[in-house]
Amino acid sequence: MTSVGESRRTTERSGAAKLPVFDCDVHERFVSLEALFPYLDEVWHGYRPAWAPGPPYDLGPLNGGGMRDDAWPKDYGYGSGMPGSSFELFRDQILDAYDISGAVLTGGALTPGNTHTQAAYALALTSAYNDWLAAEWLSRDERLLGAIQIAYHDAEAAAAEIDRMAANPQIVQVMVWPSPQPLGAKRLRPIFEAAARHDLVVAMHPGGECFQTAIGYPPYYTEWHIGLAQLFMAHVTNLIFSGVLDEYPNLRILVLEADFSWVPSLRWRMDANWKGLRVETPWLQRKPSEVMREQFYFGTQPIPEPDTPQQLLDLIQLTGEDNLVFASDYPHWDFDSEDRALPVSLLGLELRNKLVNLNAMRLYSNRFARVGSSRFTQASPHS
Amino acid sequence: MWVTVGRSDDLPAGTARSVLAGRRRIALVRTSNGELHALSDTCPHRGARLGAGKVSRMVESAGVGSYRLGDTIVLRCPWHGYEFDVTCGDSVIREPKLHVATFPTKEEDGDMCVDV
Repeated sequence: MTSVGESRRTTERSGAAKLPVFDCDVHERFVSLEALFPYLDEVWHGYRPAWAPGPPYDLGPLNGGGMRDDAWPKDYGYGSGMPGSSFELFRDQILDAYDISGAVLTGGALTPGNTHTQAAYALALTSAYNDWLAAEWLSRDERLLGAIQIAYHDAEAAAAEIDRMAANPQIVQVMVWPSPQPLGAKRLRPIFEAAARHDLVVAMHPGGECFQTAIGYPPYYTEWHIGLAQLFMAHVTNLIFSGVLDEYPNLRILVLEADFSWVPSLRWRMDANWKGLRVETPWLQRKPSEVMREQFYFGTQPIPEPDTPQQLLDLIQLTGEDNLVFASDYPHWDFDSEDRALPVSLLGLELRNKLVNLNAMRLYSNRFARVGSSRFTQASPHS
Repeated sequence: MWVTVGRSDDLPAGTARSVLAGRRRIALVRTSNGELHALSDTCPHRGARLGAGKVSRMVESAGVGSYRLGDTIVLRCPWHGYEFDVTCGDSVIREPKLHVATFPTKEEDGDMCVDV
C-alpha cells in the first residue's frame, strides 16, 4: 500500500503535470415539465407524472431543499428554476470555476425509468428528455457529455432508445436509477447488450421513488442518505453473480453517489462466498473481485471522511486507485469540490491525476475511440 | 512408504472418509466408478477434515442459468464447500494456495493402501 510520503515522492520523481478535471456526475434539470413539450408527442401533454420524484422527506433541514444554497439561478439573474436548470450558472460554477475538461450530465430531475408510471408514458418522457438534453445542453458546450435516460419497464424499447441516442458522439453512458428489482434479471439484458454494443458505460445513481434502504424509508433523510450504499451493494452483487459482466466483457459499470468505503469489504465477502458456493453460479469464470476490478468504477462522491487523512489514502488503495473517478454531484448539497475532496497535498499529483482524470479516460476510452473524440484521447481502449 | 489404511469393502462408491496412514491424516475417496484416491485430509482454508466431505461430479455451466455435471470428480469440504479435484488436489477455482496434496493408492488382497 502506498503511504502519503511514498505517493508524494513518486510525484516528485515523475514530475507529472496537473491534469484537468473530468467530472463524472453533474446534474442538469429542466425548469418545468413543459420544457420537454417540444420534444414530447402532444398526446402526452395532458399527462402529469403521478410518481413522487424522490424519497418522502421534508427537505427543510437541508440547504436549499437538498441543493447548494449558492446554486439557485435567481440569485444570479439566471431565471427562476431549480439549481442545475441554468446552463450559464452551471458554466460559471463548474465548467469555468474549475479546470474542467469534461463533465457528464447525469440528469436526476426526471427518473421515470424506475417508477410505477405507465410504460408508454415513461418511454415517451425519457425520449423527450434525451432529445431535450442534446438540444438544450450538449449542443452548448463541447465539454459537456451526456447520459441516456431509459425506462426499463420495457427493456427492448429502452434498448431501442439507447440505439437511437448512441448516434450522438457526446453521449457516453446510460443512466440506471435502481429500484429494488434486480438489475441482473434476464429480462433487462437488452439494456446491457445495447450499452455494450455502443461502448456506453452503464451508470447507477440513487434517485426516483423506489430507492429505499433495507428497512424501506427510515424516519429521517439523514438515515436514508447514509443507507444509499445498501442498495448499491445489492445491485453490484447481483450484476456480478447474475453473469451480466461475463456476458458483456467490454461493459463498464459506474456506481455514483454511493460512497465507496464499502467496496473493499463487499469484494472480500463476494470472493469468500464464491469460493465455497461456486456450484450455485457455475457460470462465473472469474472471481467476483476480478470482475469488480476489471469492470466496475466508483464515483468519489461523497468522499469518505475517516478519522485521519492516512485512512482515506488507505481506503483508496483498498478500493483500487484505478477504479475511482471524480464526481462532484453539482448542484446537490453534498457537492464535492475536486481541490478539497482530493487535494494534491494529500494524494500527491500522480494519484490525484488518476482520480480526477486518467481513470475516467480509461473508463470511457472505448466510447471515445468509437466516436472519434479528439478531446479525450489519453487512454488506450480497454478490451 | 505404502501403508494399509483399511478394507476395500469399507469405502463404498461415491463416498469419502478420514483415515490415518502412519501419522498422516488422509482423506480417502472412492469415486462412483470405483477409483480410489487419497488426499491430505486437512482443508487448506479452515482446517476441516475433508474426509467428511461429499464426493460428486463437478457442477459446470454452458452459460448463465445453465447447470450440468462435468467429468471432474470433486471432494467438497464439509465446512465452507470448497471443492478439490480428487485426482490432483487442485481447487476447482484455480487458486494455487488452495491446493491439497495427493498420494498414490493401490488395492491389494482387499486392502486399500496409500503411499505416504
